[in-house]
Amino acid sequence: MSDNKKILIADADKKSASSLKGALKAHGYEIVTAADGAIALQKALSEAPGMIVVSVDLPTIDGIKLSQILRSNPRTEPIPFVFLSDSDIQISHFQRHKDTLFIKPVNVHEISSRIYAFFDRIEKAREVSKEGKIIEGNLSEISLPDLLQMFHMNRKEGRLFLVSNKIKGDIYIQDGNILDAAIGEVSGEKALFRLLTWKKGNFKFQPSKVTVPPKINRPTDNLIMEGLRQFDEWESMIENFPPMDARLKVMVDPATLPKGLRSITQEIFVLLEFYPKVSDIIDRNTFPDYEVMRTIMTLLSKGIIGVTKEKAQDLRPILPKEDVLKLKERMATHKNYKLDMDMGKVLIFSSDNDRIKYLINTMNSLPEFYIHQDFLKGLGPNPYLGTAGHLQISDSIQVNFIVVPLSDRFSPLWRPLSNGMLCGMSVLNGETERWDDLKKICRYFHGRLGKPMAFAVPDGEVSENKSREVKERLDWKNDIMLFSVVKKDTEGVRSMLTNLFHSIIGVS
Amino acid sequence: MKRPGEPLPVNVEQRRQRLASVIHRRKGPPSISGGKAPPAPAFSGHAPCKMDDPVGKPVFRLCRGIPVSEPPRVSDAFQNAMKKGVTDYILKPINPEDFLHLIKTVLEKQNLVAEHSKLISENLEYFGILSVYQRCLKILSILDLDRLLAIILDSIMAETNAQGSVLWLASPENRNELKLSAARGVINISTEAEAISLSAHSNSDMIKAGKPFYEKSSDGGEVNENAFLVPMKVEDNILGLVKVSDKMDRERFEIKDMMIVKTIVGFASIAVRNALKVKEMECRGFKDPRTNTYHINYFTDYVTKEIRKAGRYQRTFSILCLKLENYNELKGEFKDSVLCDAIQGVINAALGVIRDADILAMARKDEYYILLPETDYFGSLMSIRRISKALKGKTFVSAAKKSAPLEIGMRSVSFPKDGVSLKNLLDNVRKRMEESRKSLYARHKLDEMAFWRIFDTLVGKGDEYPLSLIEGSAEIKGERKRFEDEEGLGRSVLFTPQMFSQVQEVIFGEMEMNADTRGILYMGAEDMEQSLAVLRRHSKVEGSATKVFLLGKKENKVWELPAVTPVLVSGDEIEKARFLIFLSVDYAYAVFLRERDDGMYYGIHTSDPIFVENIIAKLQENYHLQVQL
Repeated sequence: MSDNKKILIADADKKSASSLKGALKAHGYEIVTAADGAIALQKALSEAPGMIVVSVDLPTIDGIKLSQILRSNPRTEPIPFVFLSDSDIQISHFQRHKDTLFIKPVNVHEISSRIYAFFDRIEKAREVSKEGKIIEGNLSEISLPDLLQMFHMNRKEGRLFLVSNKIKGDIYIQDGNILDAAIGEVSGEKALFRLLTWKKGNFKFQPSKVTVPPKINRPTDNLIMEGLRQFDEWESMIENFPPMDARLKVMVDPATLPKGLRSITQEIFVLLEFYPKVSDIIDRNTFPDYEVMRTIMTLLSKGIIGVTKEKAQDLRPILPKEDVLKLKERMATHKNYKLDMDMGKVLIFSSDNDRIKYLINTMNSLPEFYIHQDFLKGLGPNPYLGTAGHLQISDSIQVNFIVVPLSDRFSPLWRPLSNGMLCGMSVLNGETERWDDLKKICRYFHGRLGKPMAFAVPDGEVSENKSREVKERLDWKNDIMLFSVVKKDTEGVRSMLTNLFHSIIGVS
Repeated sequence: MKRPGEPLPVNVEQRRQRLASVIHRRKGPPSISGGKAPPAPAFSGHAPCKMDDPVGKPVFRLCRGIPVSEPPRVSDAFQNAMKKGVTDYILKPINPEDFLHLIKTVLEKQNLVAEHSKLISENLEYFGILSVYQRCLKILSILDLDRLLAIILDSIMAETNAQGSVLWLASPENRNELKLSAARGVINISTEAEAISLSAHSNSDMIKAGKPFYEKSSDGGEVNENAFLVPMKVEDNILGLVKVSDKMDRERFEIKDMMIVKTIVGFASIAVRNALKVKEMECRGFKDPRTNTYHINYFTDYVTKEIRKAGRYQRTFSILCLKLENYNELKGEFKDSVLCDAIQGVINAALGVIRDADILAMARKDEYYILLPETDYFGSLMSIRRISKALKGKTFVSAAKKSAPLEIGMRSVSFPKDGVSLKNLLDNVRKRMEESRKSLYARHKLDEMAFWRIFDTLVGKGDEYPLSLIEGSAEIKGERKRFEDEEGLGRSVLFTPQMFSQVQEVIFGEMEMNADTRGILYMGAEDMEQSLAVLRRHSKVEGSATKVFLLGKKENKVWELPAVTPVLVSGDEIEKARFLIFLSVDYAYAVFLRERDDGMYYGIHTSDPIFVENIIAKLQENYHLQVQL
């Protein structure tokens, strides 16, 4: 049935039938029309269409009767119907997952989109059942390059799932070619080259129609060769490369750097502002690992960047396990726990992008925090709205930090943003604070919705006076959560987040 | 021929003849059995036989006779014979009197045994009937119709070893039509008739007579003994029809089964009639006879039970509030009877739209609540739309010389999202009613305008938006200010392209975070590619529970996303316009913008749910899109 893209349009209204015919023809369907029920019946039997669009008020044999007759014939029984009716009516023999009812007047594009979606679904289902078999195995039995070459030769289409040491990876294949790969937040060639190094783990190939936009455009053979070459080079360089937990810093004044640097070099400099750790620079750079490694080596050899002596501390978790459970309970909506991942959010309010950057940069010193690329790119002179980063509190709890401009102009977004919100945090602005806007925000989120609000003072002191001033300015009656945020004070920012989450779950 | 109980002497010798003659004198001529032939099966009584006779042994094994033996040969054989069930024995030489006495005793014993077994079978039959009647008593004691129908069918199946049964009940509107009302056991419900016309039924005579009958094959020819039907009749009224099908072990149903079912159905008919009467009385008792709406006490009781049920099974339901906003004003202007008639028109229109399971109750003359079981917030919004549609042209109070519109407000809440107790739910729905009066949509009477007129009214002209709005520090002035509200639901804005992109990213991020939550999204741009660019970055949206519609003049590669419905639109209105309208069960958001010559986007954004719900309806109406949420 799925190959049969012939559609019978049975409608006495010639104008409506003709416009629908035009819209469907434009998308490659073969159209047969009938203005009368008897003719429609005859054509349904002789032309064997893949779908029938029928007006309920068809003359001679009405649309419902026509569907009943055709449904009682085993040959025409599987044909799906699109009914067109003047009112919402009960149609006997209506099969919910197969048939559709449109109430006139109808938009032909809506009908044609629905028909397209139906045929597309059928085709996908057919492809899965035709190509069918799921291929599963272990990478120790067949290596990933061999597996990819096999899929390439057999022109397979589908998704390859890989798991190694609890790390998951995906490769999307279409017509044997690799379209995209993903491992955690890394995608494209960078992810594929990493996956090619996996020697152990399980794989499962699920044949299905792949619709992801292609991020990889190289031929498969070339990709595999390049991936393996880069891996060999990596192995040969690793001895002279700084340890992955080593910290890097820029040794020269960035202003003195020449213009027109390669984009990979530029990206490393941007990342170094937030991520001193070698592993972070490699992970978060969009270029393949080997290329990043080589560039770092070059920059190190030229003395533009250097390894610092700072040592990473053994850090306590932001929340102990029992509190993580409490937070999970708090996030559970209507007592329905999500089994996979609970997502909460903290809204950050400020009118000063530099102060937001300061706060996010400070939080970024935590290994559990991940800055979003859009935040790095999107910060400009105008107010920023969007996700700055996320904090992975446990395997199943992720808290997004969303920056909301401190302005009443954005108040219509407050209601949508409060959905799943855990608390708010305002980054205080010193002398130029917009207390009126901040008061409105506090009144809405704290006063009306009952969300905890915290106040961060970047690079400043938290004193009794400051606390009193904030309370007075905001007409705040209760105790206030006021935190000082100092750059590179990892322990300080960790304590701030711990206190913040404790206030959410009600632990003093 | 031998009669049962008649002794059969078994011996070919002379003595046998003599014994026969002795018996003959008392009971008439015996039939002589000789040789190796066993006694006839019909003769299952006691027969004498000779133990030492080679012929006698096989006979002895088959019948429980009286052994006869020589005096000196009283041996172990007797003991063995007694063990095997021989009734008595007699020793030679045989005294005729003793022998006759013995025969008499044996016959008496035989009669006793027969009588005993008859009594046992009568007792079993009695207990069988008693069990049927006890089931019938249980049936009679039930007044809840749904439960009653289930118990009737279960009882019938238990008594007849049937695997399935179906029950059709007479429709209250049309007594000639029986509607499928209950089914139990192994039944393919789709093959059973949804409704049966009494007059057109092939066995209508049998139904009218209240007699059971076997089902006929679909072509009406062959009788199918694997299923039979029994009419439910009380006095001369046919209340229903019960079908019993597929006996266990593929046996056929017998007349006995039909009679048992007829007995149960006789009682069941009375019970069904009683249950229907109780239901009717309840309806009368719980309903206001004048308005045909339920009393609020019944409603609160029902909702309390519904909360427990929905909480237990993690289901949802909604409460819809219908309020006559200008009731007090109209009360002074019109007579009570005129106003009541107009209100009744509204109530009748609502009653005509809601489902049988929905409960419409009157709290006050101007305030009504409708319980919509198994309906989420979107479903309740659809109910509001249906009621509004049914109310079109009926919301007027008219007296002889004057006429006034009835202002009707409707809002809904759903369990558990908007509250987990009746009080919470009612408080919230009342709060929403309040909010709806302050809504942008109500304040500016946008209901009277078409979609693009609303768009243009709200967006205005580009020069009304100062650049300082971008930073959010300035206030809008003049005409635009009146579209804003104190609550902060709606604000006029001037966005840079980057800022508009960030707003879209935030809304799409929300959709991805709550991919399982139902929603509907309309995005409009002159070139659909502009909307698609955002959509492509959020692959999870396409697979989420949000329906996505893209509206635009140009269409490029839209078909790459099958779950997205592209709608090509004509007209100049969409030129330089951008809009995003999103409604989910959790919140609503809409942004209407037009592009200025300097590349900035000016317009309005709002999270006013009343506005968003109604603007979606306007958009659907404008482009003949299907009414859906």
